[in-house]
Amino acid sequence: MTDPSILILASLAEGDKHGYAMMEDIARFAGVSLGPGTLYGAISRLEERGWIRARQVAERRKPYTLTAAGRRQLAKELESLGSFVATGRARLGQV
Amino acid sequence: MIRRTLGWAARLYPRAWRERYGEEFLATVEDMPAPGWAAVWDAGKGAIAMQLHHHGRVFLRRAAILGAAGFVLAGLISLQIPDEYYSRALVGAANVESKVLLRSVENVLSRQRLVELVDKHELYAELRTRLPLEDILETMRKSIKVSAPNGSARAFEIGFLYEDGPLAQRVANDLVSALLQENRASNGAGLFTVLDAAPNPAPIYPNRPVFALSGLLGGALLGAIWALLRRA
Repeated sequence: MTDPSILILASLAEGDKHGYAMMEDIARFAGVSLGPGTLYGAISRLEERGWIRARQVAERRKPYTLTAAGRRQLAKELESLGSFVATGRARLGQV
Repeated sequence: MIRRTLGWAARLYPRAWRERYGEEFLATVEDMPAPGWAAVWDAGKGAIAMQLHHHGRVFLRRAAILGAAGFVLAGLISLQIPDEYYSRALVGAANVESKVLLRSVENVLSRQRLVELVDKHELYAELRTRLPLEDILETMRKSIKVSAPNGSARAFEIGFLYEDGPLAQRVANDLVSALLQENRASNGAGLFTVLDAAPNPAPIYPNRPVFALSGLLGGALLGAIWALLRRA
C-alpha cells in the first residue's frame, strides 16, 4: 500500500500532525519514505476534497486534522483493501 | 546545497499553491535531517504535477499553439530543402587484390575523371557559377561513397549522392563503367563484375514527416516550458 493519500489519512487517524511528523510516522508504520513533493501534493489534494483540514495556528508548521469525511473515506479504502487482502490470502491458501 | 535546491524547486510550484503551502513545505524541508537528491527529484516532479493540476488548460493550450506552429514551420523549412538522391551499384571483386582495388578506385576518383563527369552531366550547374572548379570536385568526392557491405572482401558498393535522381543513377553507373575500364587495363589482376547496377533512386533526404513531427514535438515542449516559466 503506497498510495500517499491513504498513508496520510491513516497517519492522521492517530492524531493531528504537521508535514514532517507525517513523513516520520508513515516511514515507521508503512516503511514508505515520502518525499516533500509527494507529501504536499497529496496534502493539497486531500484538503481540496475536504478529507483533511489545516488547524489555524500562527506557526509555519501547520498541523492537519482528519475530517469526518476523511475518516469515512479511510474506512472505505481500508474495507476495500481488507477484501483485497482476504482474497489474495485465500488464493494463496493462507486463510 | 540540497536544501537550497529544494527551496529553488519550491518556486516552481504555482503561485497560489506557494502562498498556501510554500512556508510549510520549506519548514518540512528544514525538519528533514538529511534530504538527498531524491527529495529534489520528488519536489521537481511535484511542481510539474501541481502546475498541470492548476494550469493544465494553459499548459495544453500553449503546447498546442507552439506545437502546431513548430509543425508548420518545420514542414515549410523541409520544403525549402532540396531533395537528395543516392544511387549505388554493387560490384563483385572476388579475385581482385586489395591494392589493385584501391588503385582502381583512386584512378576513378582522379581529378581528370571527375572533371569529365562534371562536364558530361553538367553537374553542380548553380555551384559552378560561384565556386572554383576545385571546390566543386571536392564536393563531388564527398558525394561519392565506396564501401564494402558488411565488411565483405568480395564485393563493394559505389554510389553517388546528388539532388537529381536520374543524374545520380547515371553518374553512379558511369563510375562503375570507369572501374571496369580500369580493371581491364590492369592485366591478370582479377575481374570486377557488376552484381547490381545503380537504380533510379527515391529521395533519401529530407525526411519531411520526421521534420514536421520534430517541429511539433519541439514546439509542444517549448510551449510547456513557456507555461512553466510564466506560471500564474
